[in-house]
Amino acid sequence: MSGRKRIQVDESAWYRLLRSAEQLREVRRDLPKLVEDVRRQARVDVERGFADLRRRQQRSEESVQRLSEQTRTLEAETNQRLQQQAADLQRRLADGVGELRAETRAALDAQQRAMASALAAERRERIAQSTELTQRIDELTQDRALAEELSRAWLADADTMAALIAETLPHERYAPGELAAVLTRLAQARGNHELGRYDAALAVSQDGYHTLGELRVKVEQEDLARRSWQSAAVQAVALVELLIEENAERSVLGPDQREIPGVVLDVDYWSGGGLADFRRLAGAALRRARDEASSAQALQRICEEEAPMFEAQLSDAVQRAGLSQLASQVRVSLADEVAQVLAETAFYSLVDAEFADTDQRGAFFAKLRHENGSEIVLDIERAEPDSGGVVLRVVSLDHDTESEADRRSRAEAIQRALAEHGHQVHAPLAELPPEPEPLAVGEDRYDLAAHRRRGERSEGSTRP
Amino acid sequence: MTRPAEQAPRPGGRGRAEQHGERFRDLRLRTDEPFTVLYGPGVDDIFVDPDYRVRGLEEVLWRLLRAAGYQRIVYSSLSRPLYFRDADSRRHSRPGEEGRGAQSRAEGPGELMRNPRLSGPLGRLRLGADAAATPAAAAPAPRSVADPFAVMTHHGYLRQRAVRSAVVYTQAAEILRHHQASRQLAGALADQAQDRLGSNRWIFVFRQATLGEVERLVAGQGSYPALSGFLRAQIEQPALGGAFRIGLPEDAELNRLVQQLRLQEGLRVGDWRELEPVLRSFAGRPQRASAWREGLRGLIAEATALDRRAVLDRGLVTSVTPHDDSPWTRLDAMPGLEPVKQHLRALRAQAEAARGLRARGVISRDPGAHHLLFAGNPGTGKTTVARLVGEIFRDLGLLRRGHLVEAKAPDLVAGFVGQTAERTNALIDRALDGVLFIDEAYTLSDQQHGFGAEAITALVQRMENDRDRLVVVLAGYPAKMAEFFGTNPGLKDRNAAWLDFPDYDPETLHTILLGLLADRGLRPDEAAVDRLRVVLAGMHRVRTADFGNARAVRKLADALFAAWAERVGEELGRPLLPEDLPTEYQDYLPRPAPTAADLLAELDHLVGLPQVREFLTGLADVVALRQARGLELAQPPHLLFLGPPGTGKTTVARLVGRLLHSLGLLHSDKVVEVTRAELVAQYVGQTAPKTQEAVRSALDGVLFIDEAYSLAAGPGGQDFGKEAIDTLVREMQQYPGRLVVIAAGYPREMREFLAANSGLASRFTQTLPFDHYPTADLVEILRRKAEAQRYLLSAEAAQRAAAWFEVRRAAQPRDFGNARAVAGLLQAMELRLARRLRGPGEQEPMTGQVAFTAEDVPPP
Repeated sequence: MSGRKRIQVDESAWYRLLRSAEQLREVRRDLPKLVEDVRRQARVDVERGFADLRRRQQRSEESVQRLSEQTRTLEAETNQRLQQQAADLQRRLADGVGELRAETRAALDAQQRAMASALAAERRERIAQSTELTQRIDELTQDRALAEELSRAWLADADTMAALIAETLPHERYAPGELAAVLTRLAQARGNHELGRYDAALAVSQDGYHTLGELRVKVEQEDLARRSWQSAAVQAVALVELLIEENAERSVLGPDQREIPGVVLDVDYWSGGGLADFRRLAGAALRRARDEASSAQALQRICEEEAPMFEAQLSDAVQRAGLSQLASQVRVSLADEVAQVLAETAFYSLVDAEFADTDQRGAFFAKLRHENGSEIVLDIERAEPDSGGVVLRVVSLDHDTESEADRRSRAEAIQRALAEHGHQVHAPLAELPPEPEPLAVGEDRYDLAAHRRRGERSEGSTRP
Repeated sequence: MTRPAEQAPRPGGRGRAEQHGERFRDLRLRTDEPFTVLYGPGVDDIFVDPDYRVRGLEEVLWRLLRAAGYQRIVYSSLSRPLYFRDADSRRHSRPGEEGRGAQSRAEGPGELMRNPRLSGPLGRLRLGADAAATPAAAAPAPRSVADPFAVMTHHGYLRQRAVRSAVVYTQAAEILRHHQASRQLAGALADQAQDRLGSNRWIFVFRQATLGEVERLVAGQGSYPALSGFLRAQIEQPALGGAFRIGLPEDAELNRLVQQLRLQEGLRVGDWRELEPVLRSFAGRPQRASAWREGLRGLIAEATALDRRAVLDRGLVTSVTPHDDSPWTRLDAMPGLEPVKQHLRALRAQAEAARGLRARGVISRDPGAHHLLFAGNPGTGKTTVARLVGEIFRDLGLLRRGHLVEAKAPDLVAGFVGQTAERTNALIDRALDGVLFIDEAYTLSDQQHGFGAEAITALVQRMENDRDRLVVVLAGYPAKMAEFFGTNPGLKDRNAAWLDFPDYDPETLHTILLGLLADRGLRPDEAAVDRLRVVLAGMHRVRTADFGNARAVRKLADALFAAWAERVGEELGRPLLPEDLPTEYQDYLPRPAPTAADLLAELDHLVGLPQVREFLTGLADVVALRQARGLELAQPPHLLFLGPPGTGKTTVARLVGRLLHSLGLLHSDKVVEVTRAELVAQYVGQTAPKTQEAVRSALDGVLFIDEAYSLAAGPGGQDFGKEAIDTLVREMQQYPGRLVVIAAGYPREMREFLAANSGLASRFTQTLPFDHYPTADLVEILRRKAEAQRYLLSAEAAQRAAAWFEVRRAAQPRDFGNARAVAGLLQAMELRLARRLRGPGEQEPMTGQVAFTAEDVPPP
């Protein structure tokens, strides 16, 4: 074996390819269809979440019916407000999947907050009215009996409200300990009431009730907000999952910017299994998004950080896969080029060609034979991962001469021919620094049949 | 007129010629040789195949190789080291590539992988530098195979036996020169040379004209010893068949070219009867088919029809035989040459008989050789006949093309070791399917360093091996050719027929001259015609071995034209007159014999010599008589001058030369004086040429051999003087009437000289004795010599001088110098005179007439 030479192939061609692979980065190529899928998925999710809400609303309707007259109207209005807000959110969530970008999400958030503050203001006004009425009753009547009755009513309303909160609302998530604090104060009021100190009981129970009312609104608000985040997170991750599947196989464009029929880019294969990792990570994120235990902040992070990151990484992976595929094609093309040069200048004919272990991601070997039995193996490897550099070794196996001078002159002729064709040829063979044997397989490296056997054994693990 | 390609099928070659054209008839793709090398002038040419398709070499080779069963045919050039011309070959080499190009352009998200086997997670979509940057429509330029891999691949194909493969290097020279993996290439070549994988073929196409050039080129690279070794072997043993020369188109292919241009590009044929001679003249001019096509396209562009006139006007060829003419009629029109005509008629009979037998199924395996040897002087029509022989042999079906390639010895011989054979072979390659005419062939023997022998060896080999595709005509002077033939028995065995080309007789020369004059627009008047006949007769009479015959006549014609043109100026209608004969030719006209008185006037300057006077007077009388009677003059006799030194022999010899010339018996008045030193050499084998040279320098004049007896009486037994005498006799025999030899010496010794060769005495028909001068003559000679120097000889002085001569002669009767003694005496007298005039009392002026007195004569 002689005549091994490294030839670094021109990188400018590679950069041209790189530009053409840029289009691969665009992973959201078929967004409307994707959005429709996500939307369909999201509607189910949102529907499921709001079914809970509707059950709770029903409970709160029933609770309101049990309230005294003095609070029933207020709570009924609050209920109505809350229902309207939830319905509004539900509709927006269901419809707005397509615009699940951060700014949309923020706008939604702001709107929610505006609605919440309006609701709070309304409540404060109504509470102020009822408090004024209570004070006016105090001043006018000083009637113990009235005070007793009012105190009982407020306590009963507070109990109803506390029960509603305790039973239907995840208050401990959004306002931990607040309900307990109110219940403690209400217990004091109930004690005062039973001791006949109706004025004191009335003030505390009334205040307690309002605190509960605000707590309900706050928890409801928080819950709506989380739901909104959760829905957004689920949708974002779902979109990523869809994008992953959507981009698992990409069509390939030729130099004419048209799809090459019958050719697909198997992103997982060409990215070295990168897509499978993505699937796993996206699945986990989706589980977290759907997990009711996930906090709004966590959901917000999924939505605002993780999903975009996944998408960017997916984009990278797809591009990398595409480049890897192009690089593979470049290796074969170079083999074709060199084989052609050798066919024309040295009269060798291509007799066999194979990727190392039939893995298209690896080195490419082309075997040329001259009629006199001499052989040349073209051994083409990527110089480094993600670089356009190619290492071409031209290995001559001269069977017709043992003369070093003959071999040298042939090697030089090959180099001249390649150089004339624009292949950078660094140095003539004789001046190359000694190189290590390229692979452990040694001589076996150029046994293409062996590569095929190994390829068959590992079939499926490398090729999709 | 017949078509040789149709009438002379050659077993084995026919099928391929029918399929792929004549030029690849003999290409052997199934040899044991490791390589096939193609070279020659036709490599870059186009080829018009028998299916009338025009193809390049690459395509023709592909068809040949495919027909020979090669499944994979791979080409390699400098810019494309590896490519195919057909889908089959590509499929054999690159399985699974079909339709790939179409697939990568298929509708889809982008460009697809080019290798169908490759598929990534995105299927066959191609991603990378190119996929994004290059628009799908603009395909990247095809890369070529790098040299190291091209060699590796070629070599791999050649080593593989499963698929029959041929690798063709279409630009072999360039590839070898610029190969970037020459080391591997050299290795592959060496492997191929060793293994000899017979079924697979490595073919190299070189643009060099000869295999030697190819070999030098490859050897010069120094990098490919296997290939250069192979090439050397092919040069040395062409029969191995590993190298093939691609020649130039023959008329059959040119005919197809014409037809192709006629059918596809609108070439018009003017006179169909003239097409064949035109094509034949095309084929006789070695030129690529592509060049012919351009020439013919010129005709198309000018809307000129193809006929004899058009090709001559456009200079496509220099001559076209008219369609109603045949080489036979032209041969018959040539004067004389009976032996040649006889021989060719006999060949025709044989060829017709063979053709008849072939029709009955009798096919001789041995094509036989038809080489010829033309023995004759220059200008006797040898080249013309050789050209006709080409055409005649072509008509007889003995040669395909019949063109003539003329050469001389230097064209065959190179200056460096090993290149002569290559040069000779290259020349023969050019002459294949035609006639190789080697003029003065005998000079091959004279070439230095034995390269001539190398050329002869190569020539003899090809004369044998390619005897069905090549006729060699060796030409030269008869005597030299006989000698050449005798010393190269190999040539004798190659069935070369000896044909004599005698010198033209005067009448033929005259006819030729009149023809040439007419050709130049000259009309000689009657007197001039007669005068020229006499001149030519004279030229013929005095002709030497290198007489130019028709060539000499042409020279005369040119000289006449020049003289005539100068005389007439612009009055071109005037005839050629006798006076236009240039001076140098007037010598050939008979002169009136000088009268006896004229002759004696010359002799009057001499003292004594009554017998000489008598002889010359008699000769003049005979000449005058014969001239008066209109008879031809007799040959002048060879003369023996016998006498001691100083008796005027040399002087008389010179005079005789002038006299014989003025009598018209000799063409020239030159007298060449030689002695033993000029005739005899010191080493074996050199004397005869030396003597010959001396004799020939004296031709048409007098050769005066002083002290000729010394030739016979050389020192020791191993004397070359005898050889000189023998040669002299032979030469005298050869040039009767052209040479007068005067041998001079002491009477007694000259008898030994005549005895040295039995033929000698009979040739010297006239002997003139030169006796001692009587004293009175000596005194007279002294007086004449003194007077010649403006001295007077007083009577006393003459008397005293006579006494001086008497005493001297008495003292040494044999060696007395005669005339030479006079000169000695005069010298001594002058010395004494000078002393006397300077002495006291003598006041005679030194400038005026001075007379010798008795006291000036020294004592004897």
